[in-house]
Amino acid sequence: MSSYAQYLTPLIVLQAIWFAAVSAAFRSATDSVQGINRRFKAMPIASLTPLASRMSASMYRCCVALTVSVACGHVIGFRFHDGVVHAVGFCVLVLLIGAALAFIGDLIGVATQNPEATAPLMLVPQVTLGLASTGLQPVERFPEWIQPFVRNQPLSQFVYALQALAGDSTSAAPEVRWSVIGPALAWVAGMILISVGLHMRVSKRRP
Amino acid sequence: MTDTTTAELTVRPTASTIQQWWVLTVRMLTPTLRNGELATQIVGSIVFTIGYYIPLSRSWVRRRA
Repeated sequence: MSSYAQYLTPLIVLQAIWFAAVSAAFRSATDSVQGINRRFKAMPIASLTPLASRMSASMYRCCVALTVSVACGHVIGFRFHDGVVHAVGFCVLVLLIGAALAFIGDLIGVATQNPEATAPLMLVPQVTLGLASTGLQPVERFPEWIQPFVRNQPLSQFVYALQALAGDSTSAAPEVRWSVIGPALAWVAGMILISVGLHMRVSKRRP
Repeated sequence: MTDTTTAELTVRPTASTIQQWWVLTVRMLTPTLRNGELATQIVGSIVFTIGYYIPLSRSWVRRRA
């Protein structure tokens, strides 16, 4: 990569939207523990409307996080090199990841019904996956025994895809190919499908 | 009070799903502006940038040299 800012900014964006998902988990847990979800079920409201509103609020937080983190990246030297289409693709992929993380956060909030527990439950994976990812340094700089994990864990796959979509002034950035973007999209789809399925089960058990 | 008036008082207007969704979304967004959650979000992004970039960019430059 031409600069460390170009290499690092995708991880900063991902950490910022993960931070937004922590708020989603906290709000969801607060609603559950205060009995607001139970109250909504007793009112003439479509069953998915409260979840949809929580997700909309989460996407608003994701948009703020994306805007501020890209602006911060711009200050240190990050640029979109491959045109408007790839820049839009970068933002759409970030928002998709944000939606998946918000679903997981909402699930944790509803399942635990404990606002104090949501921050550690969301922040431990954020720190662990963030530090053991290719977002900070290339995979070759990690010890050999941990390289398969670092290379294939979801945050690294998201970083590869975002670095490809952002491009670079040199040819060092990954190319935008199905083999680069596909795994990130597969992780997002898997995260959303599993968290929605679990959310439906948990919501039935714990109104 | 006549029966008609009583009936008028007890019937509630039915809100559409979109209206319900909007009201509940605003209910979620308003506290983020009041309790500093939005400010935390903005400061968080700045802190991530400073916290990662300043210490690690030097080692990146050293490695390339």
